[in-house]
Amino acid sequence: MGVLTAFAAGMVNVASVIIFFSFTSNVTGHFAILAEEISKQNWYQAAVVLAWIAAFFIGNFITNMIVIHSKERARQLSHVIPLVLEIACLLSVGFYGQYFYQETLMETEWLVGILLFAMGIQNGLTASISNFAVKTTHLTGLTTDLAILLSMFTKKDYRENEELKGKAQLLLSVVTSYMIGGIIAGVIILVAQFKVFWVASFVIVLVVLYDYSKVKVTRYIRTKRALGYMNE
Amino acid sequence: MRNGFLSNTMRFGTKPFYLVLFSPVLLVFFSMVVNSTSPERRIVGEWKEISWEYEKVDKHNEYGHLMPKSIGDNIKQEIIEGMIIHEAESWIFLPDGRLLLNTNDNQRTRLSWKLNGRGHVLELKYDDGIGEHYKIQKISKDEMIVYFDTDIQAKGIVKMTFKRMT
Repeated sequence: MGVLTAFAAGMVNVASVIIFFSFTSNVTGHFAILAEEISKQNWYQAAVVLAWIAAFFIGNFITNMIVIHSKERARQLSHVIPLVLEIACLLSVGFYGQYFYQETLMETEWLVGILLFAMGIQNGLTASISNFAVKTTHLTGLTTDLAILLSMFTKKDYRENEELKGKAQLLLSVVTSYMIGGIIAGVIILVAQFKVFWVASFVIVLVVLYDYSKVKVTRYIRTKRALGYMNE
Repeated sequence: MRNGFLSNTMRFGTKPFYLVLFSPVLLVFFSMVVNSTSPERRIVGEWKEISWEYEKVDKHNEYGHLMPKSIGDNIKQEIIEGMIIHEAESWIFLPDGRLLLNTNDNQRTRLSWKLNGRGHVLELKYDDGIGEHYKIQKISKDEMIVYFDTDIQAKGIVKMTFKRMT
């Protein structure tokens, strides 16, 4: 799931940089820009950037609300709702951009805001599911963790620790997936422009299907085990 | 943190907590919106080119010569050759997205303009779709500063300063 969502995030971020000249899968840069615009007293730009940061924040907030307030039995559905929301956001940006976009500044600001909201949803979900361990829309923390892990592997004890090895593998796959997603988005944009967001939303559909199939398999194994115990 | 701001506010319940947390942000946001004009509206009007200079430049050019900060006419000619802005004296941004570039000898070029990003990227395009983009560093009531990259004679960032005429 982390790998596929990172792939989608890479696609969305690269696409938005090319089309809108703005990053949409992380907000670190936006905080820096907000400070810069405030210092220059560019209030309009500062308000826009503040709204973008808020969109990312709200996406994270809503997702975690859905996850923590869902009942145990509906826990899996609580993963699907944010993903469906994300798909809706990506599809709406794709359709609007492809058929209605007049290239005005206000449209750009809204579309970037919707993408940041979608990435907030995704980030909130992966962070929430992994207990804050994995974030797939930005790579600052991940690069830090990876660097720390690789430096730890200079000692034999850590090198032989299976848990650390597994974590390093996961981080590496997330980075690689994000990069590949970005490169593919850059190529797709040249021929398909806004349709790149349709492809990104299709990747999220795959995540939903993967999540659903995992639930089915888990339930099947549990039922089998339960039947096994009853037969004994 | 037991007696910190968050825990103290949370003691009064969830709603007041979120109200206290988000009200200042909303207040700041709306005051910024009220006290500002969209760059898309601010750019409309006639702007006169005042100066061209290097904002950032390699200290020495490809021939090893020390590069001055200001850009002379010869280098300017070389830079704008192949660019769509040509030798415009004044730039007239119309609200319908058209841009008229007027030269000293009354020649006029028509382009289309739009802003991208948070209003910090100026995109200029010919009708055939060929275009360029520039970074708007500053746009106030009287002055506009635009940056673009060049690698003619020396690699650097060119700073164009405009003064508002109308």
